[in-house]
Amino acid sequence: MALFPSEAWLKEYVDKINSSKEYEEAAATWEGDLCYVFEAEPDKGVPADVRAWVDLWHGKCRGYKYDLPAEEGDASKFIIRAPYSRWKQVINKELDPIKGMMQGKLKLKGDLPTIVRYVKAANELVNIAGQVETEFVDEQS
Amino acid sequence: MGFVVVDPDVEGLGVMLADLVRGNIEAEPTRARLLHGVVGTVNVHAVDAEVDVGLEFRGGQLLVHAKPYPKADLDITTDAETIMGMSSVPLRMGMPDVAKADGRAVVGKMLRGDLKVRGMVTKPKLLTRLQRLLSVG
Repeated sequence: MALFPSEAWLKEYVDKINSSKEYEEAAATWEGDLCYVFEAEPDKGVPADVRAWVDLWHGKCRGYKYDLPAEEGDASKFIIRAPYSRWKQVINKELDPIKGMMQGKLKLKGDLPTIVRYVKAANELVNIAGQVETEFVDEQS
Repeated sequence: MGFVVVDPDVEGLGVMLADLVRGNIEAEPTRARLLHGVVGTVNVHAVDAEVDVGLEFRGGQLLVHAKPYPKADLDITTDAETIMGMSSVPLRMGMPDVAKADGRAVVGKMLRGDLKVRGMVTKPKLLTRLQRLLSVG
């Protein structure tokens, strides 16, 4: 079981992206990096913002970085940011990411028409996150 | 002033719709013409996300408001996923293309009542302009 957020969790996530046929098909022509920002919630064990970067290319993830500096992460083509507890809801499938974006709970930066064209691939990325066996930092025993 | 003006208190759905229109005009500047010659108000309701937004076509500019209009010319009510899907549906003459599966799916939702568009008969131009501005197809 991987702790969220952590580099080990990100690695598991990337491994699952790279073994997903559904994602490979949906994102066959996708080109662009994505940075997830898990915003700080000190009372829940996330003392500072954490940036997790994935380099997504033609249905695969060809690289990743964990906890990269803000200026590096914020230069990504797409950035999705939300407080840690919102991401926890997304991973637990308690919050649909599209609804979350419409409600302003998740904030997307980047070319929205591109995301809309690849909405199936985006959904797969979320489904895959839900497949990682996760222990949340605020629930650590 | 830009083609799309967003009220300061707009977030979520309103920002997304504004970004879609801006992104489409940026990628294809001739689409800005779709804003001309059309005046009217449109409410969009994402019922499952419990969010509403009001859009106002001002003949050359689109205003995005945080709240729906009391009596909009067009009123679109559906779920969050369908709103996103409407942007990628193939269009023919500005309306969903029933010759394509995604187009038929949208029409099917309308027939089942999962997608309600009040005012589409009286304001077809407003609807087709909105569809074409939001379309990423």
